[in-house]
Amino acid sequence: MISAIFSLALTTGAPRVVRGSRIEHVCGNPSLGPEKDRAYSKEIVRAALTALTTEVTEPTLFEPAIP
Amino acid sequence: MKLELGNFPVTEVAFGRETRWAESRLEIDRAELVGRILEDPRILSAELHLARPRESVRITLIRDVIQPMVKVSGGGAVYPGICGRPVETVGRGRTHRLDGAAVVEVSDTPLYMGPGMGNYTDRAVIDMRGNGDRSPPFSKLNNVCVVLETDPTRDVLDRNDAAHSAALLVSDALAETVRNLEPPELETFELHPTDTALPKVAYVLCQHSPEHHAGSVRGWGDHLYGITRLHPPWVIHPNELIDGALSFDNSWGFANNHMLRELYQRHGEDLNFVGCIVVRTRWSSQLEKNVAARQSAKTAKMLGAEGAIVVGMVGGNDFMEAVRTAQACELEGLDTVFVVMEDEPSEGGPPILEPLPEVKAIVSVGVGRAELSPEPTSPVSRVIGRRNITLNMSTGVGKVDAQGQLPFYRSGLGWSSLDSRTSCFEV
Repeated sequence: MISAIFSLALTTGAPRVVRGSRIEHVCGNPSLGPEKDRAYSKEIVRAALTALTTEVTEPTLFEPAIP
Repeated sequence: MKLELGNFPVTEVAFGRETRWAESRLEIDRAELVGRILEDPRILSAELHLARPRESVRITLIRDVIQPMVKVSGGGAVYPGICGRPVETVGRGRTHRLDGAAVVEVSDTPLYMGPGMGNYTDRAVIDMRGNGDRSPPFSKLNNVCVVLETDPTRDVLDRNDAAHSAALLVSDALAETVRNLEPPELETFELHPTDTALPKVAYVLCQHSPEHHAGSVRGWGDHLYGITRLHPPWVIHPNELIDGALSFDNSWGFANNHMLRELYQRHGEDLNFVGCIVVRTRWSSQLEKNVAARQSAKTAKMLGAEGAIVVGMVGGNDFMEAVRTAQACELEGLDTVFVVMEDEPSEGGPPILEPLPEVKAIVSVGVGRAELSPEPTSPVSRVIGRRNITLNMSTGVGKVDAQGQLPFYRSGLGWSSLDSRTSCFEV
């Protein structure tokens, strides 16, 4: 799950949680401008794909890499 | 800060040749007040209607219920900062108020344009027949309804300012009738020094900010000195709340807050009421929510609190900082009670959205969904406001005629004696 308010996702038991940006724009940051916004979005999605292929034993937070 | 409250009872209300109060009877010069309201070009139409206790009347399109009061001395104006009113700190000197009367702002002016509840203009209904021993207090007040249409071509903030200004104009005019009179009852509110052995308690109010829903830092919503945007924890003296520093939606409820009154009554007896903190909710990042919660707890600690009552009549997104504030208070060593509404049991989840282990003393004000145990209420003779309303306020579906039979007692001004504000839900 990609969430800006990831703490709730973790405490309610979502096994794989990716740190999102803000509630208004979870998968990016438009204030960075279109190019950097897209680069940030890509890292978030990349982290989500990594999380899907990672074994977890408890709710785990995955951080997107800094683009 | 010492505040004297002069209470003038109102048991009768009627239209008459002049606006005046005498021996519990409030008379209102309808034409004069409507004329003054219509001086504002943003108001297209205005009417005044009276709704008395036990009458067969429902009031709809309610935007606020206002406690009529006036600052006689001590500086500032009641309901400071809103609609261009002075921002001087309130809660001192003397305030005169009409006890048993209220001004109800009735209009289909939306709060804001955009997602969230702002477009639901029919969030609340008052049925003046009450609901037996579960009657909300509004059905027991002599309600002076200000029914307004604002110019739809104007900016929504402008429309909100116009509608609420008109309601405050009437509230001010009614309260003015008792400015220079000797009050039949005078109460004094002062947090005098007490025995230091008494447990020190802070009252923490979680108030929603409309900032994100409205897409503006000036969005219409819970006003604290006219400010609705997200802000750090704000220390407030209880007298400021009595004078209307916090207002919206149910300003009457804030000014007549039972929790506050009880804390005051018991100050010096079995507790030491150290003050209030207003926490703004609906920050949009985890970081900000965590900071808001931790800093609120720190603020309570700096006030000397040993215990805290955290009232979080908010749900979903807003709930997170409310419950985290309660958690943070516990982590700071404060004995904390969290007052909150419960989620609907049929959803199959826990009673509250995010149960945190440290938050172990919880007072539930119920699920607040009257439609879960429906008891139909019979038709009324008259509706003030619009007849066509939305029955299910959470989903926005289900149009009904407010004059007809309703499947349950619909209120929407979520009142309970424990509540510091309205919630969307009926209690």
